[in-house]
Formats: sequence, structure tokens, C-alpha cells
Amino acid sequence: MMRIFAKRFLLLLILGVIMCLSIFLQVQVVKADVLQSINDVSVEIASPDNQPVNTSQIQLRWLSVPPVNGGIISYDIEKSTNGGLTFVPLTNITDLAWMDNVPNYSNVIYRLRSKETVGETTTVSSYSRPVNVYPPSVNVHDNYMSNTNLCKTCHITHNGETAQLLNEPTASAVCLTCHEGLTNSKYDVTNGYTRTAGGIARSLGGAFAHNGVEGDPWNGASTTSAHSFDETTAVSAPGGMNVNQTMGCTTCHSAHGTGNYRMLRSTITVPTAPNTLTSINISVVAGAKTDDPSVGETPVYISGMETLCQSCHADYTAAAGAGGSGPGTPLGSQHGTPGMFRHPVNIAPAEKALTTTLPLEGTSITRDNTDKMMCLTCHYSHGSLVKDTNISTVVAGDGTSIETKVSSNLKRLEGMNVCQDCHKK
Amino acid sequence: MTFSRFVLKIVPNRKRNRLLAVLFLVLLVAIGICGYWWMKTHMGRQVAPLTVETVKAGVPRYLYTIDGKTEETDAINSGKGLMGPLAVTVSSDYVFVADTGRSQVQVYSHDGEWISTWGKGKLNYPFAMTYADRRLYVADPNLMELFVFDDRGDMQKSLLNKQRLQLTSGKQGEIIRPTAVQVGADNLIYVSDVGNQVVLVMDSSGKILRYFGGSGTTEGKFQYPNALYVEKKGKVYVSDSNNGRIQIFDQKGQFLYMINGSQGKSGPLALPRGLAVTDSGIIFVVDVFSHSLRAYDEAGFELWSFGGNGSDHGRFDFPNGLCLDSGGRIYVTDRENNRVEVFGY
Repeated sequence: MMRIFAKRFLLLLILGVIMCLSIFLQVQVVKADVLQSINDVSVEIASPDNQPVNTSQIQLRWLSVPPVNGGIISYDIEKSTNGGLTFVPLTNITDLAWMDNVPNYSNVIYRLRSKETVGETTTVSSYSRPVNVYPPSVNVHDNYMSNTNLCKTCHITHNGETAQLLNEPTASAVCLTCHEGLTNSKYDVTNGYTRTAGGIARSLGGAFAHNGVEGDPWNGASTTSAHSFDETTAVSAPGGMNVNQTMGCTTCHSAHGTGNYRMLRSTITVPTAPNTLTSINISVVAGAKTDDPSVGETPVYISGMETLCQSCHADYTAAAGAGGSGPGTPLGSQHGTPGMFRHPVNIAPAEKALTTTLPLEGTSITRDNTDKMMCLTCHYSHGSLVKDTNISTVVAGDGTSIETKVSSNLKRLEGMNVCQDCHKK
Repeated sequence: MTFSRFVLKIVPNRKRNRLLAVLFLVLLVAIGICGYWWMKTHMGRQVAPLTVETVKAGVPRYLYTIDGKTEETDAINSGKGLMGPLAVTVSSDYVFVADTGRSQVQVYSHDGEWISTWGKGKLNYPFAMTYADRRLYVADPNLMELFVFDDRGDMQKSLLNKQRLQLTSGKQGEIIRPTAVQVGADNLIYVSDVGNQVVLVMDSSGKILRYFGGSGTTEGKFQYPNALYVEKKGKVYVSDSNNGRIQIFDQKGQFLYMINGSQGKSGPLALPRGLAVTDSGIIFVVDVFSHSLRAYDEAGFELWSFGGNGSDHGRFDFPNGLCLDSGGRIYVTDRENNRVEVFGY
């Protein structure tokens, strides 16, 4: 008996030694590291003597990236002036700073990546977050590396009014101190204005709470419907779970910049079933062209916008019954309105031989009708100013009862012109 | 016939004496009430002139608030209140406040009583104002205009008309975006322009005579000059907001010196905006991000700073505009508290 035990014990001992050795050996094996990308880029905007008129000098600065294979590190810089549709390589340098001249009041997007060259082989890192620039203003939301004093404009260390140490009672109140039209900021979200070389122009998102001003870019119209943003009023999303929540700026936006268009959040947490919250990843690739600096921005939606809207309004992008192809499997099953027929999203007007002037989402350079419909084709994201006495049919959360109410529902056009713009009946 | 003899005739002795005593007391009380009322409305608002010694001695006291509120009315709904006021200026009769959030100018008496609304339907973003020579000048950087109102509140003309600045190089600059306006003792109009980051000098017809500055962070350059003050002797003080400093120029636009507050107890200016200078050379400036009012002497030495974020009297929530009146009162627009606070010594 003892001999059998001894054998097994010996076998186990040998096995144990082999396991330990393999662990030890593993540590010795060199892992293939991935080349680091650049994600902390500081931007300085200046206008030195002899700067060509109506332009500013942009200086980009970043931190060095270590080589992983002992090669030579250089940095690629690319630039887009068409809202991110196409990027043009500007340079490849080994320095950690680069200067460019940009016309004032135009949107420019830079992206950077590091590159390692070992002999004949070159590896590149993934691209940095887009670096958005709109001279002569400096984007205070994305420049903490070059100016940490910016933290103080929104945060207060020892006397915070919220758990996030904000200097106002709600996050929306902080945003509005700069973005409700009483500062030199580029965006006024309350009145729906964007600063341009020629004064002010309409904001792409519409206006949250504009009281008509004669002769202004909205032709004196006032807001008729909007997303709630006061962090006090409880609302429930049509086409979503029948759950009441408050909304604020930080429901959709992140104050610190995420790489998404317009600083949209990269994750959003929403109720997907009773007592269940799900975290959803959001990746919105888009930009805004400024072909004419006095006219303002033209949106360029490239991909992913509906992932944000469908987080709360999930049913409306679901494929079932609609015939169109939804942007993927909706969360769980449909929530409030199962089995209903929907107007398709993610379908191109050209597929049905239709044309539209409303914004579409896609990669076509000419922004033609092969790009696809999405929520923002027919709706504003912040608020609408169209006059509408249309009675809308809204299905209540339990899927059976029907509510009707009068609302312009954040539509872009008066009445149901959003239908006519494509269907031309 | 005197009063006492008259009384003597009508009433018997004791009753008369009692009556006289009562009447006398009533008279005293009446005088007392009148005196108290007069003192409350007038004495509380009398202030000492802003001499160097007075200002050096300490911070001014809070006098009163102009916000259009009365016991009966809700200021905003009554149309007499303020929403996001950014600028204030005074004449001998009135206090003009830019009711920026509602795209108009409110006119109050010096006691804070609402009188009238000007510019409704004509303004978009009244950002800065000054009163000179019976005219109210209003700078609107959204409409890119400098409007002139007459004494009755009628808009007489606009002086900028969205024009581009003609640069000395011969090229055309950006469209002028005015953020401050002052009228000098020379009757010329000084305008700060964030479109080109300069200070312009123009005559009363709107013809631009010269400009100085330019975009940048070095001496004599600006990053968003948001306020101006032109003293009687001709020096021009500019709130170079995003550079965190006040720059002082001579009449010809030559740079003289700057004040950035770094030597003072309160430290560097975070975002200086509204400023004004007394005849004695004291510089008052509003520092928006530290929610405070500061005083510096001519040499740039900080005398005091008070405020802090809040809604009590003596605290501010994004203060912006500042002006002085000839009596020594200091007016500060307290934007997020929707009021104008008045201080004095």
C-alpha cells in the first residue's frame, strides 16, 4: 500500500514541479506588446505677428511613445476639413509638436498615431481620438493637459454642490453657465445658436428653450418640443421601457470629451427590463463641415448615431414588422411596444428610388441618397422650433392603450413635411 | 389769533393741556416717521466719494439691489425683472441694465424702480453699454452691431453694420464683433472687438479712425478683450479676459503696463471682465471665475477683493458688468442671480 501511495505521491510531486516550472517559464517569455497610441493631445491657438489674416496658428503637442521592438518612433498627423469623411496625411515627424494654419471659424479634425520602424518593417498604432479645433476659440473641454486651471471652471474641491464636486446644484446648471447664450462660447444650446464669422447661425441640434427673437436665425420661432434637461422633470422615453427618469446634459454628453462626435458619452446606462439596468457602448462617428465660415456648420453623420437614440427609444429602431433592417439586435426584446410596425431606419432613400434633403448617415463623399436614414434624419436632438398642431399617436408602455397628444416631437419640419420630403406624394 | 389762544377759547384748562400734549406727541411721532422714511430712502444711499484713502481703508458696503422685484410682483413674469444681466451703465436720472437673457435693456430709476424696456425686438445679445451725451450705446456681438438709442428709448442708428475691419496691411480682417463700448473725453467712441482682437477708435458717425492690439498673448495683444474704460486724461484700460490681465494704453494706443494680479493677495485674475477707474486712479474690476470684485491702485497693487460664489448680498454668481456713478456708487451685474448689486462707502 505504501509503495502505491508513494508512487502516486511522486507522480503528483513531479506534476506540481512541472506546473510551477511552466508558470515560471511563462514569465520569462517576452509578450508581443502593442504600440501605444496617442490620446493626450494639447492644442494651443495663437495669432502671432505676420499671421495671414482671418487664420490662426494651431499648435499640437503630445507625449512621446516608447518603442516596443527597439525601432525608431515617428508620428503621423492627418487632417480632415470635411467633417471627418476623409483624412489627408499632413506629415510624419519625430518631434512632439506640430504647427498648422487654419482659417478662423472653420471646423478642423486632426488625428494622430505613432509609428515604429524596425529595418524594413513598420507598425502603426491605432488613431488617437479626433482632435477638434474651431479657431479662434479654444475648446476648454479637451485641453486639460495644457491648462489644468480649466478644472476650476466647473469643479470645486472642498465645497462641491454635487457628488462630482460641481460648483452648481446639477450638471445641467454647470453646462448652462457657459452654454445658455450669456458667454462667448461657440454653442448656445438654449437658443440654438452657433458662433460663426458672420455672427450666429442655427445650431445643428435645434434649441432647447428658445423664446423667439425677431430677425434671429430661427426667424423668430420659439421651441415647441424638446428633450427634458433640467434633471428634475421625470420623463419616460416613447418606444422604451415605461420607466420615468430625469434627464440632463450628462444623460447623452460627457463633459470631458470621449472621442465621439460632440462629446457624446461612450457608454450609457438604461433600463432594459423591470429593475434591470444595462450599460451600452456608444460609438458615434460624425463631424460638421464649415464650407462657408459665415454660414455655420453642416452635419456629416458617418456611423453610429442610432446606437445612442436606441438606448432609450429601443423599439423604434427594431426590425420586426418594419421590413427595413435595424442596426442590429435591439436590447433584449422590444420593450414597450412589441410587434408593432415601424418606419425603417438604416435604409437608404436610393434603395426605394427616393431622394431627400434631410441629413443621412453614411460614408459617401457627396452625401448622396445612398447614405442611410437614421433618427436625426427626421428629428432634432435637442429641441424643435417648428409650428405643429399635429396630433401624434403614442403607444403607452403596456403596448395596449393608445395615447394621443399634440407635440412637434422634435421634428425638423412643420406638420408631416418630413414624410413629404422623401415620399413626395 | 394764535393756535394756543384759539384752543384756550374752546376748551377748559386741563382738557386743553391734555389735548395740546397729545397733539404735540402726535406731531413728534409724525415727524419721526417722516424722518425715518426719508433717512431710509436717502441717507442709506448716500455714499462717500471714492478717494484713494477711502478705498484703501477697506471693502465697500452693500447698499441695495436692482432686480425689478416688488412685494406684489414676480419680477420675471411682470416683465420688470432681469434674466442673465451682463452690463450696467448710468445716467443722472436712470440706471440702464442689459437684460441679456431676454434680448432687451431695462431702465430703472436710481432707487431701483422699473421705468421702461428698450430695444425689445431689435436686440439679440446686449453685451455692453455706455451712456454718454444723452445717448445710450449698446454693443450686440451676435448681431455684430453697435446700436445708439436716444433719450426716449428709440433706436437712432447702428454704427458698425457688420463691417469687416480694414487692416493697416490693406487686407480685410474679420467682421467686427463688439464686446465693449466707451466714449472718451475726446468724444471718440472706443470699441473692443473680439472678431479681430483689437480696440477700435471711431468718431460719432461710425468712421473707424484707428485700432490697436491684435490676437496674441504678448504685451499689447489680446485674447478676448471683453471690457474697456477710457479715463478723462485719455488712458485706455482693457480687460484682456482670456489672458487674465488688464492692459493699460495711452491715448495713441501705445502699451504702457499691465496688471495680472499675480503679486496680490488674491492671486492672478482668473477672468477679468467689467472694469472702471475712479478719477483718483483706483481700478475696480470684476473677476468672473472667482466671483469677486477687486480693487487695485494705479501701480497695480491689490487693495482688496470680496465676493465668492453665492446669492447673499456681498456674494456673486458669475458677475460680469461694472460701472461707477458720479456719487461714488459701484454697480455690479450679478448674472446668475439676475440682479444688479450696488455698493458704496
